[in-house]
Amino acid sequence: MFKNPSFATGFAVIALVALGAALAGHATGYEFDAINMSEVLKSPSRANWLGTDQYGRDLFTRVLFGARIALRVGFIAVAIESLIGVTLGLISGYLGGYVERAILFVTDLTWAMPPVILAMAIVTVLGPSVNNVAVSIAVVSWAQFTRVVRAKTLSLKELPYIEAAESIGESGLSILVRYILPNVAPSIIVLATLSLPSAIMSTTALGFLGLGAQPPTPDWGVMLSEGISYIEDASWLSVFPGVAIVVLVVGFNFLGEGLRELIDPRIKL
Amino acid sequence: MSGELISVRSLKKFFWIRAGLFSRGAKPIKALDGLTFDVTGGETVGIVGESGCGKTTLARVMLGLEAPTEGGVSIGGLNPFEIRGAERKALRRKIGVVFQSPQASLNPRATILQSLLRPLALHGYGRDAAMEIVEKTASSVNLGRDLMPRYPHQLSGGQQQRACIARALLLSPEIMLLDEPTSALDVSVQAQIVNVLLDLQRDMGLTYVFISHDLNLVRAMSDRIIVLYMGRIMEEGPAEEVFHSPAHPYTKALMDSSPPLSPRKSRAPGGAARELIRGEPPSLIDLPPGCRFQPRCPKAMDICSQSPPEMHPFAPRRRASCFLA
Repeated sequence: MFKNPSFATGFAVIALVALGAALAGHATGYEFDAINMSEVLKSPSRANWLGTDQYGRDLFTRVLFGARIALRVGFIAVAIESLIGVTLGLISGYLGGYVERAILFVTDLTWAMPPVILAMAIVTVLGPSVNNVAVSIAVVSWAQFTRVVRAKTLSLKELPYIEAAESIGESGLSILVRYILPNVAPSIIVLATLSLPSAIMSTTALGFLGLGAQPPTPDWGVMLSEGISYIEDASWLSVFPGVAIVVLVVGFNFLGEGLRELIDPRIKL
Repeated sequence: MSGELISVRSLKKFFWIRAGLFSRGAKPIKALDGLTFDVTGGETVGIVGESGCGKTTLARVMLGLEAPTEGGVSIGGLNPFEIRGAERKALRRKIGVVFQSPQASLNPRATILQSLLRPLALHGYGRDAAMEIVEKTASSVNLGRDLMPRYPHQLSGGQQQRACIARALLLSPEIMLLDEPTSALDVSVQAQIVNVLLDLQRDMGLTYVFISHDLNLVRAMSDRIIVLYMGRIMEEGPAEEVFHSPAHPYTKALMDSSPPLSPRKSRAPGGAARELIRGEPPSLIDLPPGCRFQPRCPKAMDICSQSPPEMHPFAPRRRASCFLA
């Protein structure tokens, strides 16, 4: 498994980030919200590896805590969107007819909207918070799962083992859960891994726009937008959260690509 | 109609193609166009015909997977499309089915054991009783115990097909519907599967409906043959008689087109020179007038393109739909 270079790279990066996120409270000796007005806007040094921000808070600690938020929102969002998307995909692919048309109509509708704008609208309605960000991202991006799962279901349901199952009297629900879902699962796993980076990107985008986590939460998007004001004097404030986003997103992309190659190179997403 | 295990009466199955939302006057594809035949308990009926003649559609209708457009099927006196609930369940137990491609017939994410236990669980057997039946059935098709925990892709084609046969046998059916059970397999493995099937029939008195385009195989397996062409029965009769003296020009052409078992035998089974079928089968949507084989028939007469020949008996136990028979 680790002989696949994409998977190995992705796994190493994600493992490192996850470790950092897990140890965030203990690794650096600082609290993410400990204000120290005598150490404001210090450049990276031995005491503050990534420097300090405009309130003298240790940036390294804040970036590590930020990983927690990014991972949490990413996983919650992808869990919700795959739940919605897979269910609708299975139903529309298997039942066909008017049900399928109705589901496809809604799917196309969400495709047609610019995702971040729609997510902004939803967060505005729900109120800005980390969990609401996850929900809004899920609501705008489940369509991809529906599309993939429906296509796969359409081709699977014509296979003789499904006919054999029908001829012994399996119910529709049982065919979906016992026969079709397990055979779509590899595609779902790969798609979920590849959806994480875009969910994380959207989280930080919403944070950057002030609609996600609220200060002093060390969300990478929030940190980026705060750092912008000091970009000329203290560029590390925005550079390091930005690098963190890139590392995590690229890591998940490698992981997803590697999984795809390992599970089934023919999977089309 | 007593003694008939399966009786099919003027069975029609049309498929409508939809060109689009606003298309009008769609024409049906006549996959099955009025089939009537009976199958008696314990016999093997071979259904032969070239691709697209309706063999598989017939199988699907008999299994109750596809509702007939007209006419009906009755299996042991029950019509699969009129019954529900417990009777439906009882009917399902009467028919076992084996499909053409064994690999595609088994759930790739379930072990052989799981695939075999499932039908029994659905029909209310407890775990222990089910295990016992699975073991007994598996040994009756020479499926080793060591294969049980494996997944389908870890089995050879022959092993997969024996697993499929075992699955079809679990609920002790009276009828086995065999839809080209050997055509995806190597010749040596075909022989093995055929032997398993023949042994099972001898031991359990099963009735086989054997669908195939392999004429030599059908001849070896069947008591009676039904020749299908474009959704109609062309000829029906005892296997050996049909092979020796085909009454319908299509039957003869079909046999001539099957390669001889020995390369030196360049003559057809009847002794006459081989005559291959000319042309392509016509479209199932726009059927030729009169007899549907008439455009390709070497013996076509004027009357053939005017009215379709009725199916009629011309000798004991033999029927054909041809003006010449």
